[in-house]
Amino acid sequence: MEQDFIIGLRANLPKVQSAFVNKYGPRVHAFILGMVGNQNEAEELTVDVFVRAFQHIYSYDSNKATIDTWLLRIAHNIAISHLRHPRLSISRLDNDNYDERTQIETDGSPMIEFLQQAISDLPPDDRAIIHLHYYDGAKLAEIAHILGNTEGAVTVKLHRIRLKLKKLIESKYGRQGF
Amino acid sequence: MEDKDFDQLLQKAVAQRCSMPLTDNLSARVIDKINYHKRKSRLQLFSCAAAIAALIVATIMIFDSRKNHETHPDFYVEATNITNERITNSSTTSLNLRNDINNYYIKPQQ
Repeated sequence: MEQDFIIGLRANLPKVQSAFVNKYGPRVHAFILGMVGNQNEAEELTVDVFVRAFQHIYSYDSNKATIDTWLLRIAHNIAISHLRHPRLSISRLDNDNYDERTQIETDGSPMIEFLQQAISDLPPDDRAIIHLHYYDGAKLAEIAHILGNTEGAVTVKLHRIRLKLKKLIESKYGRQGF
Repeated sequence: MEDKDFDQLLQKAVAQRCSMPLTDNLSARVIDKINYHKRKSRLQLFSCAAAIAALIVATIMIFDSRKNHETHPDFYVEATNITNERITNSSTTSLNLRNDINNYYIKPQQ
């Protein structure tokens, strides 16, 4: 299946491109949304990810990574670049009092809202690790490949982020929590 | 708080952060953008080719006009006149110089 996609994409077939976007789009979009925290920007960046992937499809090597990992690595690079040099997007023009946290829907639980805010305040790479581990269910080796890091470094980072978030929530709501 | 409980809470928070649906026309937007990039690169290629062609034509025209100028019969007449004029001028200058030397350096010794 993956090999068929690669052949179709290298042949520049619009039908295959469309099917490819439909298959991998939601995962890429969720990852970018987890990193940038804004729906419109996440969609714009998702489009950029696929455009870049199609342009560089010849450089994809199936022996090095799966297509998902390769796409998420591109997504990570694009999201990091966007967060370092944000471009003026339509969503920001529409809303004078722009705040990325207003874009995130919550179920109303104050503890979850607090935790989401704490995640938003984390550095982008830490947000990526949290997202890939807790939402995506990615393995540590895969996370390391996406972030261009070693597996050991990711393990240590994940442990530290968890500890930091746990301390934050315990200081706010006490050790019993909920 | 137990680690397990905390992990569940974290999982829920992260899931809510990324639970927004993706618009249906994403693939159409991607294909539109790819076509836009293709058109843009084609236009850049065309304008680059046009600029190179213009440069080549301009170079050929400059060389051609020089060649015409050099092979034109008037060019040699003009060049000969200029050369003769220079020879005359230099002869006059050297004659004057010799006179000056005679007058100021050689004459008093005689």
